[in-house]
Amino acid sequence: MTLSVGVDLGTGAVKTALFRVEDGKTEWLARRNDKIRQRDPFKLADDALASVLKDAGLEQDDIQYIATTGDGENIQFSTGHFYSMTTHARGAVFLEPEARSLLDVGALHGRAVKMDERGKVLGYRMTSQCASGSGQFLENIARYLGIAQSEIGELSQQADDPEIVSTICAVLAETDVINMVSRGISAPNIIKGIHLAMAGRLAKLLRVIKASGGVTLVTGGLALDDGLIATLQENVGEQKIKVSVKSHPDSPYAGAIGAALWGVYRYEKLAAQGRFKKAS
Amino acid sequence: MEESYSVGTGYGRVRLPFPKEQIRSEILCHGLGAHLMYPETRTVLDIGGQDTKSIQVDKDGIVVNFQMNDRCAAGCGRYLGYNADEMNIGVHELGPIAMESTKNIRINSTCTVFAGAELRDRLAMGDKRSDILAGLHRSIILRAMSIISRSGGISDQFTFTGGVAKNEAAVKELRKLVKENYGDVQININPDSIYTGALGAAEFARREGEAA
Repeated sequence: MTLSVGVDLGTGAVKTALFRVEDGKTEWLARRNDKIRQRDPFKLADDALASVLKDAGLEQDDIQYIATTGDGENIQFSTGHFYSMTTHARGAVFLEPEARSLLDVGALHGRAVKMDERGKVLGYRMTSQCASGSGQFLENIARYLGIAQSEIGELSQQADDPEIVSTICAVLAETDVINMVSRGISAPNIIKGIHLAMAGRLAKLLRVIKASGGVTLVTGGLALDDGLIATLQENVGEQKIKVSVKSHPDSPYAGAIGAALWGVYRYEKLAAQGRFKKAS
Repeated sequence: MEESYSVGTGYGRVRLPFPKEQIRSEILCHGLGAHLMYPETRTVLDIGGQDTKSIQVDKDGIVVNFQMNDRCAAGCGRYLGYNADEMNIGVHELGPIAMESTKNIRINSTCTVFAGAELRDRLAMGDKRSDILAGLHRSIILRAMSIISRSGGISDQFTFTGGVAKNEAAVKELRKLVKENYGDVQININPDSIYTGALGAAEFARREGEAA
Protein backbone atom coordinates (compact mmCIF):
# COMPACT_ATOMS: atom_id res chain seq x y z
CA MET A 1 0.00 0.00 0.00
CA THR A 2 1.23 3.46 -0.86
CA LEU A 3 -0.18 6.69 0.51
CA SER A 4 0.61 9.85 -1.36
CA VAL A 5 -0.39 13.50 -1.25
CA GLY A 6 -0.33 15.83 -4.24
CA VAL A 7 -0.16 19.57 -3.69
CA ASP A 8 -0.76 21.83 -6.69
CA LEU A 9 0.19 25.38 -5.86
CA GLY A 10 -1.38 27.52 -8.53
CA THR A 11 -1.53 31.27 -9.00
CA GLY A 12 -5.13 31.45 -7.83
CA ALA A 13 -5.60 28.46 -5.55
CA VAL A 14 -3.88 25.63 -3.69
CA LYS A 15 -5.27 22.19 -4.51
CA THR A 16 -4.46 19.17 -2.37
CA ALA A 17 -5.37 15.51 -2.92
CA LEU A 18 -4.62 12.43 -0.80
CA PHE A 19 -4.49 9.01 -2.51
CA ARG A 20 -4.10 5.39 -1.46
CA VAL A 21 -2.93 2.86 -4.02
CA GLU A 22 -3.13 -0.80 -3.11
CA ASP A 23 -2.87 -3.79 -5.47
CA GLY A 24 -3.54 -1.58 -8.47
CA LYS A 25 -6.62 -0.11 -6.80
CA THR A 26 -6.54 3.67 -6.58
CA GLU A 27 -8.59 5.40 -3.95
CA TRP A 28 -9.02 9.14 -3.50
CA LEU A 29 -9.25 9.64 0.25
CA ALA A 30 -9.34 13.39 0.81
CA ARG A 31 -9.10 16.71 -0.96
CA ARG A 32 -8.99 20.46 -0.48
CA ASN A 33 -9.18 23.47 -2.77
CA ASP A 34 -8.26 26.81 -1.19
CA LYS A 35 -8.37 30.12 -3.00
CA ILE A 36 -5.22 32.08 -2.20
CA ARG A 37 -6.77 35.57 -2.10
CA GLN A 38 -3.61 37.44 -1.10
CA ARG A 39 -2.77 34.98 1.68
CA ASP A 40 0.56 33.22 2.08
CA PRO A 41 0.32 30.19 -0.24
CA PHE A 42 2.90 28.19 1.75
CA LYS A 43 0.91 28.62 4.93
CA LEU A 44 -2.21 27.54 3.03
CA ALA A 45 -0.38 24.45 1.78
CA ASP A 46 0.63 23.59 5.36
CA ASP A 47 -2.96 23.92 6.55
CA ALA A 48 -4.30 21.96 3.59
CA LEU A 49 -1.92 19.07 4.25
CA ALA A 50 -2.96 18.97 7.92
CA SER A 51 -6.60 19.08 6.88
CA VAL A 52 -6.49 16.23 4.33
CA LEU A 53 -4.52 14.08 6.80
CA LYS A 54 -7.16 14.72 9.45
CA ASP A 55 -10.01 13.93 7.04
CA ALA A 56 -8.38 10.61 6.20
CA GLY A 57 -7.50 9.90 9.84
CA LEU A 58 -3.78 9.75 9.06
CA GLU A 59 -0.53 11.24 10.35
CA GLN A 60 2.15 12.81 8.15
CA ASP A 61 4.44 9.88 8.98
CA ASP A 62 1.94 7.49 7.36
CA ILE A 63 2.45 9.18 4.00
CA GLN A 64 5.13 7.72 1.73
CA TYR A 65 5.32 10.54 -0.76
CA ILE A 66 4.27 14.18 -0.84
CA ALA A 67 4.44 15.42 -4.40
CA THR A 68 4.25 19.08 -5.31
CA THR A 69 3.48 20.65 -8.65
CA GLY A 70 2.80 24.10 -10.07
CA ASP A 71 4.70 26.71 -8.09
CA GLY A 72 5.08 24.31 -5.16
CA GLU A 73 8.81 23.56 -5.57
CA ASN A 74 9.71 25.33 -2.36
CA ILE A 75 7.09 23.81 -0.14
CA GLN A 76 8.89 22.62 3.00
CA PHE A 77 7.31 19.21 3.32
CA SER A 78 7.70 18.25 -0.35
CA THR A 79 9.29 14.87 -1.08
CA GLY A 80 9.58 15.66 -4.76
CA HIS A 81 8.36 18.07 -7.40
CA PHE A 82 6.72 17.34 -10.76
CA TYR A 83 6.15 19.67 -13.69
CA SER A 84 2.60 20.84 -14.23
CA MET A 85 2.40 19.39 -17.73
CA THR A 86 3.03 15.85 -16.49
CA THR A 87 0.76 16.11 -13.47
CA HIS A 88 -2.16 17.58 -15.40
CA ALA A 89 -1.80 14.92 -18.07
CA ARG A 90 -1.84 12.14 -15.48
CA GLY A 91 -4.71 13.76 -13.58
CA ALA A 92 -6.75 14.22 -16.75
CA VAL A 93 -6.43 10.55 -17.71
CA PHE A 94 -7.42 9.57 -14.17
CA LEU A 95 -10.56 11.71 -14.33
CA GLU A 96 -11.42 10.86 -17.93
CA PRO A 97 -9.80 7.67 -19.27
CA GLU A 98 -10.64 8.69 -22.85
CA ALA A 99 -8.71 11.96 -22.54
CA ARG A 100 -5.82 12.27 -25.03
CA SER A 101 -5.32 15.98 -24.67
CA LEU A 102 -6.16 18.63 -22.14
CA LEU A 103 -6.62 22.34 -21.82
CA ASP A 104 -5.48 23.63 -18.47
CA VAL A 105 -7.04 27.03 -17.94
CA GLY A 106 -5.84 28.64 -14.77
CA ALA A 107 -5.79 32.10 -13.28
CA LEU A 108 -2.87 33.35 -15.35
CA HIS A 109 -2.27 30.94 -18.19
CA GLY A 110 -3.76 28.61 -20.73
CA ARG A 111 -1.99 25.39 -21.64
CA ALA A 112 -2.70 22.59 -24.07
CA VAL A 113 -1.11 19.18 -23.51
CA LYS A 114 -1.27 16.07 -25.65
CA MET A 115 -0.75 12.73 -23.93
CA ASP A 116 -1.09 8.96 -24.32
CA GLU A 117 -3.47 6.65 -22.45
CA ARG A 118 -1.06 6.42 -19.51
CA GLY A 119 -0.76 10.15 -19.12
CA LYS A 120 2.65 10.45 -20.75
CA VAL A 121 3.10 13.91 -22.27
CA LEU A 122 3.52 13.86 -26.06
CA GLY A 123 3.52 17.58 -26.69
CA TYR A 124 2.38 20.85 -25.25
CA ARG A 125 1.96 24.52 -25.93
CA MET A 126 1.16 27.29 -23.51
CA THR A 127 0.38 30.96 -23.52
CA SER A 128 3.16 33.14 -22.22
CA GLN A 129 3.95 36.80 -21.89
CA CYS A 130 0.32 37.79 -21.93
CA ALA A 131 -2.72 37.17 -19.72
CA SER A 132 -5.27 37.36 -22.49
CA GLY A 133 -7.53 34.31 -22.33
CA SER A 134 -6.71 33.53 -18.72
CA GLY A 135 -8.98 33.17 -15.72
CA GLN A 136 -7.83 36.38 -14.10
CA PHE A 137 -9.05 38.22 -17.17
CA LEU A 138 -12.55 36.79 -16.81
CA GLU A 139 -12.52 37.33 -13.07
CA ASN A 140 -11.68 41.01 -13.48
CA ILE A 141 -14.52 41.51 -15.94
CA ALA A 142 -16.98 39.65 -13.71
CA ARG A 143 -15.95 41.77 -10.77
CA TYR A 144 -16.52 44.88 -12.80
CA LEU A 145 -19.96 43.69 -13.89
CA GLY A 146 -20.81 42.75 -10.31
CA ILE A 147 -21.30 39.08 -11.20
CA ALA A 148 -20.36 36.21 -8.90
CA GLN A 149 -18.03 33.69 -10.52
CA SER A 150 -20.62 30.97 -10.11
CA GLU A 151 -23.06 32.95 -12.25
CA ILE A 152 -20.70 33.41 -15.20
CA GLY A 153 -21.46 30.10 -16.91
CA GLU A 154 -25.20 30.45 -16.79
CA LEU A 155 -25.20 34.07 -17.94
CA SER A 156 -22.95 33.26 -20.88
CA GLN A 157 -25.40 30.65 -22.10
CA GLN A 158 -28.22 33.21 -22.12
CA ALA A 159 -26.44 35.38 -24.66
CA ASP A 160 -28.40 36.12 -27.85
CA ASP A 161 -26.06 38.56 -29.58
CA PRO A 162 -22.54 38.27 -28.17
CA GLU A 163 -20.43 41.40 -28.31
CA ILE A 164 -16.91 40.75 -29.55
CA VAL A 165 -14.16 42.39 -27.50
CA SER A 166 -11.99 44.46 -29.79
CA THR A 167 -8.67 43.90 -28.06
CA ILE A 168 -6.77 40.86 -26.91
CA CYS A 169 -5.25 42.60 -23.89
CA ALA A 170 -6.90 41.59 -20.62
CA VAL A 171 -6.38 45.03 -19.17
CA LEU A 172 -7.55 47.07 -22.14
CA ALA A 173 -10.54 44.75 -22.52
CA GLU A 174 -11.74 46.13 -19.20
CA THR A 175 -12.06 49.55 -20.78
CA ASP A 176 -13.79 47.92 -23.70
CA VAL A 177 -16.27 46.34 -21.31
CA ILE A 178 -16.86 49.65 -19.55
CA ASN A 179 -17.81 51.11 -22.92
CA MET A 180 -20.09 48.15 -23.63
CA VAL A 181 -21.92 48.68 -20.36
CA SER A 182 -22.42 52.34 -21.18
CA ARG A 183 -23.73 51.35 -24.61
CA GLY A 184 -26.31 49.18 -22.91
CA ILE A 185 -24.97 45.73 -23.93
CA SER A 186 -26.38 43.07 -21.62
CA ALA A 187 -24.16 41.17 -19.19
CA PRO A 188 -24.77 37.79 -20.91
CA ASN A 189 -23.66 39.20 -24.28
CA ILE A 190 -20.55 40.74 -22.74
CA ILE A 191 -19.58 37.55 -20.89
CA LYS A 192 -20.18 35.42 -23.95
CA GLY A 193 -17.97 37.79 -25.96
CA ILE A 194 -15.18 37.26 -23.45
CA HIS A 195 -15.71 33.49 -23.59
CA LEU A 196 -15.47 33.60 -27.38
CA ALA A 197 -12.17 35.48 -27.19
CA MET A 198 -10.80 32.99 -24.66
CA ALA A 199 -12.03 29.96 -26.58
CA GLY A 200 -10.43 31.25 -29.77
CA ARG A 201 -7.08 31.56 -28.07
CA LEU A 202 -7.34 28.15 -26.38
CA ALA A 203 -8.47 26.36 -29.53
CA LYS A 204 -5.40 27.75 -31.27
CA LEU A 205 -3.23 26.00 -28.69
CA LEU A 206 -5.04 22.72 -29.37
CA ARG A 207 -4.42 23.10 -33.07
CA VAL A 208 -0.73 23.79 -32.55
CA ILE A 209 -0.24 20.54 -30.60
CA LYS A 210 -2.25 18.76 -33.31
CA ALA A 211 -4.78 17.38 -30.87
CA SER A 212 -6.92 14.86 -32.68
CA GLY A 213 -9.25 12.14 -31.50
CA GLY A 214 -10.50 11.29 -28.03
CA VAL A 215 -11.55 13.66 -25.34
CA THR A 216 -9.95 17.01 -24.56
CA LEU A 217 -10.43 17.42 -20.86
CA VAL A 218 -10.51 20.95 -19.55
CA THR A 219 -8.62 21.17 -16.25
CA GLY A 220 -7.72 24.02 -13.93
CA GLY A 221 -10.04 26.40 -12.16
CA LEU A 222 -11.89 27.52 -15.28
CA ALA A 223 -13.05 23.96 -16.00
CA LEU A 224 -16.09 24.64 -13.84
CA ASP A 225 -17.23 27.50 -16.06
CA ASP A 226 -20.00 25.86 -18.17
CA GLY A 227 -20.15 28.90 -20.40
CA LEU A 228 -16.50 28.58 -21.37
CA ILE A 229 -16.84 24.82 -21.93
CA ALA A 230 -19.87 25.33 -24.18
CA THR A 231 -18.08 28.05 -26.14
CA LEU A 232 -14.98 25.86 -26.51
CA GLN A 233 -17.11 23.01 -27.84
CA GLU A 234 -18.63 25.33 -30.44
CA ASN A 235 -15.24 26.72 -31.35
CA VAL A 236 -13.40 23.41 -31.88
CA GLY A 237 -16.40 22.25 -33.90
CA GLU A 238 -16.21 25.28 -36.18
CA GLN A 239 -12.46 24.87 -36.58
CA LYS A 240 -12.85 21.18 -37.33
CA ILE A 241 -10.50 20.10 -34.57
CA LYS A 242 -11.51 16.47 -34.07
CA VAL A 243 -11.78 16.25 -30.32
CA SER A 244 -14.66 16.21 -27.93
CA VAL A 245 -14.24 18.87 -25.27
CA LYS A 246 -15.37 17.81 -21.81
CA SER A 247 -15.04 18.93 -18.27
CA HIS A 248 -15.21 17.04 -15.01
CA PRO A 249 -16.49 18.27 -11.65
CA ASP A 250 -13.07 17.43 -10.16
CA SER A 251 -11.10 19.05 -13.00
CA PRO A 252 -9.59 21.75 -10.78
CA TYR A 253 -7.81 18.95 -8.90
CA ALA A 254 -6.17 17.46 -12.00
CA GLY A 255 -2.70 18.76 -11.11
CA ALA A 256 -2.91 17.61 -7.49
CA ILE A 257 -4.24 14.20 -8.54
CA GLY A 258 -1.50 13.77 -11.13
CA ALA A 259 1.15 14.80 -8.61
CA ALA A 260 -0.12 12.29 -6.04
CA LEU A 261 -0.24 9.49 -8.62
CA TRP A 262 3.21 10.23 -10.02
CA GLY A 263 4.37 10.37 -6.39
CA VAL A 264 3.08 6.83 -5.87
CA TYR A 265 4.82 5.72 -9.07
CA ARG A 266 8.13 7.27 -8.15
CA TYR A 267 7.98 5.95 -4.60
CA GLU A 268 7.24 2.39 -5.69
CA LYS A 269 9.99 2.46 -8.32
CA LEU A 270 12.60 3.75 -5.89
CA ALA A 271 11.46 1.62 -2.97
CA ALA A 272 11.66 -1.51 -5.13
CA GLN A 273 15.29 -0.65 -5.83
CA GLY A 274 15.87 0.24 -2.19
CA ARG A 275 16.82 3.76 -3.19
CA PHE A 276 13.99 5.72 -1.64
CA LYS A 277 15.11 8.39 0.80
CA LYS A 278 12.50 10.34 2.68
CA ALA A 279 13.13 14.06 2.78
CA SER A 280 14.26 15.23 6.18
CA MET B 1 -19.61 89.41 -35.94
CA GLU B 2 -17.02 86.95 -34.75
CA GLU B 3 -17.03 83.51 -36.18
CA SER B 4 -16.08 80.43 -34.25
CA TYR B 5 -14.48 77.23 -35.50
CA SER B 6 -14.01 73.97 -33.69
CA VAL B 7 -12.07 70.76 -34.22
CA GLY B 8 -12.54 67.55 -32.27
CA THR B 9 -9.95 64.90 -31.47
CA GLY B 10 -9.23 61.98 -29.14
CA TYR B 11 -10.65 58.51 -28.61
CA GLY B 12 -14.21 59.79 -28.41
CA ARG B 13 -13.90 61.97 -31.51
CA VAL B 14 -16.39 59.95 -33.51
CA ARG B 15 -19.01 60.66 -30.89
CA LEU B 16 -18.61 64.42 -31.13
CA PRO B 17 -21.45 66.20 -32.94
CA PHE B 18 -18.96 67.60 -35.49
CA PRO B 19 -18.92 67.10 -39.25
CA LYS B 20 -16.14 64.89 -40.57
CA GLU B 21 -13.96 67.80 -41.76
CA GLN B 22 -13.75 69.06 -38.20
CA ILE B 23 -12.28 65.88 -36.77
CA ARG B 24 -8.52 65.27 -36.53
CA SER B 25 -6.64 62.29 -35.19
CA GLU B 26 -5.06 62.72 -31.79
CA ILE B 27 -1.64 62.04 -33.31
CA LEU B 28 -1.86 65.15 -35.49
CA CYS B 29 -3.24 67.21 -32.64
CA HIS B 30 -0.60 66.07 -30.18
CA GLY B 31 2.16 66.86 -32.62
CA LEU B 32 0.82 70.33 -33.28
CA GLY B 33 -0.03 70.98 -29.62
CA ALA B 34 3.49 70.08 -28.52
CA HIS B 35 4.87 72.31 -31.27
CA LEU B 36 2.82 75.26 -29.98
CA MET B 37 4.03 74.72 -26.43
CA TYR B 38 7.65 74.21 -27.47
CA PRO B 39 8.28 75.26 -31.08
CA GLU B 40 11.68 73.50 -31.18
CA THR B 41 10.06 70.13 -30.45
CA ARG B 42 10.97 67.34 -32.87
CA THR B 43 9.97 64.26 -30.87
CA VAL B 44 6.86 63.90 -28.73
CA LEU B 45 6.20 61.07 -26.30
CA ASP B 46 2.65 60.77 -25.04
CA ILE B 47 1.87 58.18 -22.40
CA GLY B 48 -1.85 58.10 -21.80
CA GLY B 49 -4.10 55.67 -20.05
CA GLN B 50 -4.63 53.31 -22.95
CA ASP B 51 -1.88 53.95 -25.41
CA THR B 52 1.66 55.17 -25.74
CA LYS B 53 2.62 57.22 -28.77
CA SER B 54 5.93 58.43 -30.02
CA ILE B 55 5.53 61.16 -32.65
CA GLN B 56 8.16 62.82 -34.84
CA VAL B 57 7.25 66.31 -36.03
CA ASP B 58 8.91 68.77 -38.37
CA LYS B 59 9.69 72.45 -37.71
CA ASP B 60 6.03 73.35 -38.33
CA GLY B 61 4.61 70.77 -35.95
CA ILE B 62 3.48 68.48 -38.76
CA VAL B 63 3.71 64.76 -38.07
CA VAL B 64 6.33 62.98 -40.15
CA ASN B 65 6.37 59.61 -38.39
CA PHE B 66 4.85 57.92 -35.40
CA GLN B 67 4.65 54.63 -33.56
CA MET B 68 2.08 53.62 -31.04
CA ASN B 69 1.13 50.79 -28.78
CA ASP B 70 -2.59 50.35 -28.32
CA ARG B 71 -3.06 46.60 -28.42
CA CYS B 72 -1.64 45.79 -25.04
CA ALA B 73 -1.66 47.70 -21.77
CA ALA B 74 2.03 47.07 -21.08
CA GLY B 75 3.76 50.42 -21.26
CA CYS B 76 0.58 52.48 -20.96
CA GLY B 77 -0.66 54.45 -18.00
CA ARG B 78 -3.14 51.71 -17.25
CA TYR B 79 -0.18 49.46 -16.43
CA LEU B 80 0.59 51.71 -13.48
CA GLY B 81 -3.10 52.20 -12.67
CA TYR B 82 -3.73 48.46 -12.57
CA ASN B 83 -0.82 47.89 -10.24
CA ALA B 84 -1.89 50.81 -8.05
CA ASP B 85 -5.23 49.01 -7.68
CA GLU B 86 -3.36 45.81 -6.79
CA MET B 87 -1.58 47.69 -4.02
CA ASN B 88 -4.69 49.54 -2.96
CA ILE B 89 -3.18 52.95 -3.50
CA GLY B 90 -4.24 55.88 -5.67
CA VAL B 91 -2.55 56.67 -8.99
CA HIS B 92 -1.31 60.00 -7.60
CA GLU B 93 0.54 58.15 -4.81
CA LEU B 94 2.57 55.97 -7.19
CA GLY B 95 5.22 58.52 -8.08
CA PRO B 96 5.94 59.80 -4.57
CA ILE B 97 6.20 56.27 -3.13
CA ALA B 98 8.45 55.08 -5.97
CA MET B 99 10.75 58.07 -5.36
CA GLU B 100 11.59 56.64 -1.92
CA SER B 101 13.10 53.54 -3.50
CA THR B 102 16.62 52.62 -2.44
CA LYS B 103 17.04 49.32 -4.26
CA ASN B 104 16.82 48.29 -7.89
CA ILE B 105 14.17 45.68 -8.53
CA ARG B 106 13.58 44.34 -12.00
CA ILE B 107 10.03 43.49 -12.97
CA ASN B 108 10.30 40.67 -15.48
CA SER B 109 6.71 40.46 -16.72
CA THR B 110 5.68 42.32 -19.80
CA CYS B 111 1.98 41.73 -19.34
CA THR B 112 0.22 44.03 -16.89
CA VAL B 113 -1.71 41.20 -15.29
CA PHE B 114 1.47 39.15 -14.84
CA ALA B 115 3.25 42.17 -13.41
CA GLY B 116 0.42 42.38 -10.87
CA ALA B 117 1.06 38.76 -9.88
CA GLU B 118 4.80 39.37 -9.76
CA LEU B 119 4.17 42.34 -7.51
CA ARG B 120 2.13 40.17 -5.13
CA ASP B 121 4.92 37.59 -5.04
CA ARG B 122 7.51 40.27 -4.40
CA LEU B 123 5.48 41.76 -1.56
CA ALA B 124 5.06 38.28 -0.08
CA MET B 125 8.83 37.79 -0.33
CA GLY B 126 9.31 40.92 1.73
CA ASP B 127 10.41 43.41 -0.91
CA LYS B 128 9.61 47.03 -0.20
CA ARG B 129 6.64 48.69 -1.87
CA SER B 130 8.73 51.66 -2.99
CA ASP B 131 11.37 49.45 -4.65
CA ILE B 132 8.76 47.39 -6.49
CA LEU B 133 6.98 50.52 -7.67
CA ALA B 134 10.24 52.00 -8.92
CA GLY B 135 10.75 48.79 -10.89
CA LEU B 136 7.29 49.15 -12.43
CA HIS B 137 8.04 52.73 -13.45
CA ARG B 138 11.30 51.63 -15.02
CA SER B 139 9.50 48.93 -16.92
CA ILE B 140 6.89 51.28 -18.42
CA ILE B 141 9.58 53.77 -19.47
CA LEU B 142 11.70 51.01 -21.01
CA ARG B 143 8.73 50.05 -23.11
CA ALA B 144 8.23 53.68 -24.12
CA MET B 145 11.91 53.87 -25.10
CA SER B 146 11.45 50.97 -27.48
CA ILE B 147 8.43 52.64 -29.07
CA ILE B 148 10.45 55.86 -29.42
CA SER B 149 13.29 54.04 -31.10
CA ARG B 150 10.89 52.37 -33.54
CA SER B 151 9.50 55.77 -34.48
CA GLY B 152 12.99 57.04 -35.29
CA GLY B 153 14.58 57.90 -31.97
CA ILE B 154 14.77 61.24 -30.21
CA SER B 155 15.74 64.50 -31.87
CA ASP B 156 16.26 67.65 -29.84
CA GLN B 157 13.92 68.93 -28.38
CA PHE B 158 11.91 66.21 -26.76
CA THR B 159 8.47 66.83 -25.25
CA PHE B 160 6.75 64.43 -22.86
CA THR B 161 2.97 64.65 -22.53
CA GLY B 162 0.02 62.70 -21.18
CA GLY B 163 -1.10 61.73 -17.69
CA VAL B 164 2.08 59.80 -16.91
CA ALA B 165 4.11 62.99 -17.46
CA LYS B 166 2.66 64.14 -14.14
CA ASN B 167 4.35 61.23 -12.38
CA GLU B 168 7.71 62.29 -10.98
CA ALA B 169 9.10 58.76 -10.76
CA ALA B 170 8.30 58.09 -14.42
CA VAL B 171 9.87 61.41 -15.42
CA LYS B 172 13.01 60.67 -13.41
CA GLU B 173 13.40 57.30 -15.09
CA LEU B 174 12.75 58.81 -18.53
CA ARG B 175 15.36 61.54 -18.03
CA LYS B 176 17.90 58.93 -17.06
CA LEU B 177 17.22 56.67 -20.03
CA VAL B 178 17.06 59.52 -22.53
CA LYS B 179 20.46 60.74 -21.35
CA GLU B 180 21.92 57.24 -21.56
CA ASN B 181 20.61 56.63 -25.07
CA TYR B 182 20.49 60.02 -26.75
CA GLY B 183 22.85 62.20 -24.72
CA ASP B 184 21.95 65.72 -23.66
CA VAL B 185 18.55 66.49 -25.04
CA GLN B 186 16.27 69.27 -23.91
CA ILE B 187 13.27 67.58 -22.26
CA ASN B 188 10.10 69.63 -22.05
CA ILE B 189 7.29 68.80 -19.69
CA ASN B 190 4.48 71.28 -19.50
CA PRO B 191 2.34 71.35 -16.34
CA ASP B 192 -0.61 71.67 -18.70
CA SER B 193 0.56 68.77 -20.85
CA ILE B 194 -2.78 66.97 -20.56
CA TYR B 195 -4.21 69.71 -22.79
CA THR B 196 -1.68 69.14 -25.58
CA GLY B 197 -4.17 67.34 -27.84
CA ALA B 198 -6.88 69.93 -27.23
CA LEU B 199 -4.44 72.74 -27.92
CA GLY B 200 -3.45 71.17 -31.22
CA ALA B 201 -7.12 70.78 -32.15
CA ALA B 202 -7.77 74.42 -31.30
CA GLU B 203 -4.88 75.47 -33.55
CA PHE B 204 -6.28 73.39 -36.40
CA ALA B 205 -9.62 75.16 -35.88
CA ARG B 206 -7.95 78.57 -35.82
CA ARG B 207 -6.17 77.84 -39.10
CA GLU B 208 -9.48 76.72 -40.57
CA GLY B 209 -10.92 80.10 -39.58
CA GLU B 210 -8.02 81.95 -41.17
CA ALA B 211 -8.34 80.02 -44.40
CA ALA B 212 -12.07 80.69 -44.59
